[in-house]
Amino acid sequence: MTDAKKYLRSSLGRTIEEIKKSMLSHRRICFLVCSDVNMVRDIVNSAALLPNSLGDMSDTNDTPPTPTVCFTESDTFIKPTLDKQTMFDRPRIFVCLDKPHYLSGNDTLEEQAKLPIDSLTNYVNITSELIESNVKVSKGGERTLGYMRQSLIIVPLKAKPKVPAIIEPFSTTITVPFMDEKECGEFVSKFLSNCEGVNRSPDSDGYLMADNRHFLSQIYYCLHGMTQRQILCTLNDCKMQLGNIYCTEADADYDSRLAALKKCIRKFSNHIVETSRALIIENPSDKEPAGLGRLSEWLRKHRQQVANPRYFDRYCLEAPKGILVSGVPGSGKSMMAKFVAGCFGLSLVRLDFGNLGGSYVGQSEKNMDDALAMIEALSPCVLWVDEMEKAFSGASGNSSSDVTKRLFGKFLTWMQEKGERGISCFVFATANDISKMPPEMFRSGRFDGKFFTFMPSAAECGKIFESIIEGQTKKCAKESLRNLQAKPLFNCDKINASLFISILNDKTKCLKGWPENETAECGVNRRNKFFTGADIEQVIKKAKTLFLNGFAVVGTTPAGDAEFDSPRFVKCLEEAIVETRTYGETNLADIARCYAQLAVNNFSQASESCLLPFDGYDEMPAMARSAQTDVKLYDLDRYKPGAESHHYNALTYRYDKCLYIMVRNAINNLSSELIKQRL
Amino acid sequence: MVTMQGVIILRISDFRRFFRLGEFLNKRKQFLDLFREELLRYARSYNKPEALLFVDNERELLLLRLLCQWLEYPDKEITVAKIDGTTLHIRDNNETTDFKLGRIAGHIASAKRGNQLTGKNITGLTLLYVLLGTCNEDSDIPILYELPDSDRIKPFNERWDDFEIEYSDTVQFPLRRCVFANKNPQNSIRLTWGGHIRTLHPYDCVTGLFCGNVCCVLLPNEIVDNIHHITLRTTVAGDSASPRLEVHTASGVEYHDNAVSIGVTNTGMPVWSTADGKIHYPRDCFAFGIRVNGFLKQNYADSFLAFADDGTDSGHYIFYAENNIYN
Repeated sequence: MTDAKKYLRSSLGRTIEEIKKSMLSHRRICFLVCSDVNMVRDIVNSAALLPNSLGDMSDTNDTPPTPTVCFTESDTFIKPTLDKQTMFDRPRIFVCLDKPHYLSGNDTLEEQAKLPIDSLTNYVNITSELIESNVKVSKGGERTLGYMRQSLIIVPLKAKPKVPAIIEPFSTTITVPFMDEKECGEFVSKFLSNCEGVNRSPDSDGYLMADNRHFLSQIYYCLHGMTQRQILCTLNDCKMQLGNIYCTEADADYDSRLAALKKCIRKFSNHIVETSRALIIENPSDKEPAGLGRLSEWLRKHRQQVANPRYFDRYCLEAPKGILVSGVPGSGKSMMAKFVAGCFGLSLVRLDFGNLGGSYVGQSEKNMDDALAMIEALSPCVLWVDEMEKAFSGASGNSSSDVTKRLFGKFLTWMQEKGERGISCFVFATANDISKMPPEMFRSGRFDGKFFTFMPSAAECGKIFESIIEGQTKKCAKESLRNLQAKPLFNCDKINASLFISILNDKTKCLKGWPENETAECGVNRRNKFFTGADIEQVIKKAKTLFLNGFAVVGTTPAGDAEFDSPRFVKCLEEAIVETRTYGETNLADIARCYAQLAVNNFSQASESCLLPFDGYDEMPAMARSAQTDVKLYDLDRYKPGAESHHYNALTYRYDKCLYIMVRNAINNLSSELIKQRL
Repeated sequence: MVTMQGVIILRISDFRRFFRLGEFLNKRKQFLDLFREELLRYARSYNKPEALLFVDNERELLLLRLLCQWLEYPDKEITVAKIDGTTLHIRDNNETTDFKLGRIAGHIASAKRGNQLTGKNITGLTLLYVLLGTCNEDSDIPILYELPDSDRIKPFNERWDDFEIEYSDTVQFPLRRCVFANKNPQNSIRLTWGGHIRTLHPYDCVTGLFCGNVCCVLLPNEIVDNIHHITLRTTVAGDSASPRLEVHTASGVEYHDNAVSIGVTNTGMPVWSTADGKIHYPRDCFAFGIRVNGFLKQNYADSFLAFADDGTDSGHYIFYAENNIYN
């Protein structure tokens, strides 16, 4: 006797019941979407659908005695006419899989070859009396027809098929569901009991579980989406690496052991993704990008919701769908993606839209479906969509390709409804130019937060500089552990944020185009060096190269305090800055355009400082102006006289003031173009 | 589409796996239709065993045919079937097919001695159990030789549809305790007791105190205390034939097996008694504790059956024993 509740909750039980419903509604062709041959075996062996007889199971016997179950790889197992049928001397279960594969220890389904369309079409034609309706059928033919109608054809597949219209009314597509938490918990408990002698006891629903339910619940999130075979391999692998994996909450090192086990499981589950061309596993990082404090704070506040969404079910609070981060190139967006995954303790998967394309019609959509299915299997995870505007550019507008539109629509729909299906996948999307993205991407509810990364302020530049210097110094220190007398890479007491900020504020180095009239100045020039994070990294690299090539050896007294001797490195740094053409120097117009886009689309700032408050930006007066009047797009004094001088005077550094004036003026000088774009 | 415990039954394998006597008898008409379809299919194919879908072979089909006969005409003698000690003989077309009864044999003997069932019903149930394969030693299907008999209320009664129990407004002795469980996994059912109607959701159960077949006291099966945010419910879990108490609070749900009477004190604490006669209450329920101690001092405390709130909101409980009430 079996407890029906457990059976009806199990993935096998649910699948079999779906197949039964399909049979009762005369849909005798069943496309079974699963990745594990074991499921097909279990369904066939259950004998719950048709009398089961596999006959002689030996793989040397090609003609077993009157089996009910037939394995077939060909597309000719059902002939075009009733009188030519040879397989229907009884109702049969056809499994479109070759017998050696079924019987072998190989548990995975191959990528689907051609569907047996001819046989399925013949089956539909004959059993629905679409042909031979005027032909008198013999008694034997009637019997054969009856057996055909009672038969079942199972086509195991790895992904949902595109079913021809003629077959669709007579078929059903069943996706084998993943194990739920209880079933998975019982399965894991059985493994632990067999391998580690862990005690099990029945819970209120009769599942035999290990005593530490919290442990099982946490492990379930990592194992979600795996087949039983994959779970066994993963747990065995983890056991090999970590020793005994089960631990109780009373153990002193419970948290660390559990975290190590989860990390180990994730490493294994990442292999599943590697089979897709469009998905790339990236390494998460726990290094917080400097200068993006507000975004980091948002992530910390939502960390629990993303990592443990089930705990928030009781509050009817869905896990955050994701965030969109836009901003100038080189401002730390990609670094942030890696930090997000590290902060949440999840795998980081990057979706490469370029690899979704295919040569066949419908293949791109299929590849997208496959990729999304794989991401769901990996959840909870962080899905990084880099440079989203390039992926979906042209999804709006008349010139868009149909494929791009469909892929875009598919992705949007998936983002919206994944939460309802309990999929916890945090989407971290980045974009440099959101003007190329379809406007429906920005509607409320699409993302949980929209952040912009702008040109960093002087203080933020200093933090970025210091973070890079310290990071490199620490990395080198780790690698030279044997030599206790080794010099550090940099003397971080001298090569630090203060040094860099002082260089930034120097009119002779970075601010050669300093506006003498300050806020009264209306012009722009390209003589000021405004830095992004990528520029700072480049400058450091250049300075190191100069140092190693002997720059400023003459005329500098070495301090001997680091590999990159501080006095000389400072000179190299200054020279590198002179030589480098920064983004803010060459792309002031692009910065202004980027700012305008962010202002109208209600983005929040990712950094703590705000050099150009959005309050000053208003295009409506500019759009409504008559030809004679001169209205500025950006004017902090517009609605609050004196606001600009208040804001300007509050800026600590000359660099920040210069940046404010230049970008403000660039926005106002481009106002015609920006308004035209909006109209 | 016929189901057993919510599972669609297409084949004898599932029929055996999920079999419940009570549900089978409750759904006998639907099962009869399913079995008849199999017989028809066999006949239409000119008696080819390949045509069988529900059963696996013609021996099982033979049992099925006679089972249909019993289900359809329970008062008709099944003349072709004869139980002879440890063997069931079935005569069919001048041939006799024998079925070893195995572990069923002892139950048949007990049923015959018990005198509760007619010979026809014993034969019918035997056909059913042989078809289910319960004669095999490794079968775990419980063998129950009983039929739902509205004239007799048992200590544990399964129901799938609305039903009525006889009402009495006075307590008569001797009292006995009977439980009714809604085993219908999909639908709620209504219990009618005089002018009272109690709704039982799937797997809910209710305990009544009976004198014969008359229910004198119908105990509460659900108590909700919104002030103290506690709800008590009596349910039955899966296969079990005993009720359990679910205590729902803000911090989660606790389960206590074999609970037959339940209550919530004025301070929001759950109290309950179990089938073994024990009364459970938190240590700091002093008022209730005093009442319990008072009852336990009575000489009839050994025959304790259940307690119930007296309905006056005073926190006063009545304790029922087989032949006494402690008020």
